[in-house]
Amino acid sequence: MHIADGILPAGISIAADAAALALVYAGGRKLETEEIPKMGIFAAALFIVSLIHFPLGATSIHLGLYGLAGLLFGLRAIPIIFVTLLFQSLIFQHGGLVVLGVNTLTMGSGALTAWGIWKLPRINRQVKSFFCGFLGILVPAMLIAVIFVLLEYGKGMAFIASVYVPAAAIEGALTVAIYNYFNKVKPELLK
Amino acid sequence: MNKRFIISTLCLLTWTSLVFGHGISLTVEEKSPFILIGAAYHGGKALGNADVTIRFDTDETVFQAGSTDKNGNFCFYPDRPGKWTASVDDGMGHRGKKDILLDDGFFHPPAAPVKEVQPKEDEKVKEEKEKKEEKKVPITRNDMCCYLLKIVLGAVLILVITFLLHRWKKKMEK
Repeated sequence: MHIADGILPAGISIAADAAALALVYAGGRKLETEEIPKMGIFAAALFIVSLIHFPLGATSIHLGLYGLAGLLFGLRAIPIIFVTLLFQSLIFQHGGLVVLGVNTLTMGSGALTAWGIWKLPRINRQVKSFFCGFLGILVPAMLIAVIFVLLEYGKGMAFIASVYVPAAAIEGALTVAIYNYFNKVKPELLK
Repeated sequence: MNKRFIISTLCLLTWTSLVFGHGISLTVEEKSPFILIGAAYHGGKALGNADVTIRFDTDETVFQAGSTDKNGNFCFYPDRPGKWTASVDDGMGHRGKKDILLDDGFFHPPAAPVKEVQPKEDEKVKEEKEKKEEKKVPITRNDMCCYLLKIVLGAVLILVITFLLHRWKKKMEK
């Protein structure tokens, strides 16, 4: 789901890099010392989970945990996602370096959507956690599909949507399970 | 610091390290006079219906463009020796690129000895079966080990950077 180098015009990529760096700065500002290990461990988890591959139809999909990142870390999820994507790009060539900003913004949109959902009042927290996971992966997939449609590239929106809806449902269920676990063992993590 | 959070995340890390990720691996078979390209995800699944572009060295024009078949195979007939480049794109942001260096020997292979005895029917079937099995698993054990090592390396690097950042921040506070 990551965009590779050479697909987007250089101007858009560089503008997105600047926007992503600004968001990373905003997300990493006034970082407390005790937050760093949690964020680092979650980034490592995100790095590995994103490499899980499920064959689905003619293509393959993977979990993202961007929704869970937004739920647990809010705006702090952006630097986490940035670091994860940077290492995926450097080690696995998943997504390009020049388009790292675009990938951070698209994947980060999932985390920010989840953060927004998590802040909604008067809704059952389990329902919210499901939609955090569901939209946390579906929103980035849709955004990338829109980019591909605008560029008249690849297999387009309908294809990506059809592929990622079941993945989003799995991720939603997984997020509910992780929410339930954290709610039992350490509820203060779920602000 | 939340110990349970760390333990549960580390469990997740260990579990997921065992599962294979994606990315494109390309195999090239030089079968004069044509080149056979096999494309697969790192998990071993064939990359069917992916866009393929063939270019010769510095030529600006594309030599050939097309799609892989459902088994991830693509074939082209190069017309001169030199550096050929095959690019494969699954249309979902995953790309693979491979350089193929061809010398004169490819275009003038030594004449194959004429076989007087045709292989028996069951031998042919056996060979075809072996070839099919080879195509099903385009990645080797080495590739798998390399991939797993890369996953571990990436995760460890992130954790080391986190540790250093945490230490630096603590020092700054003091």
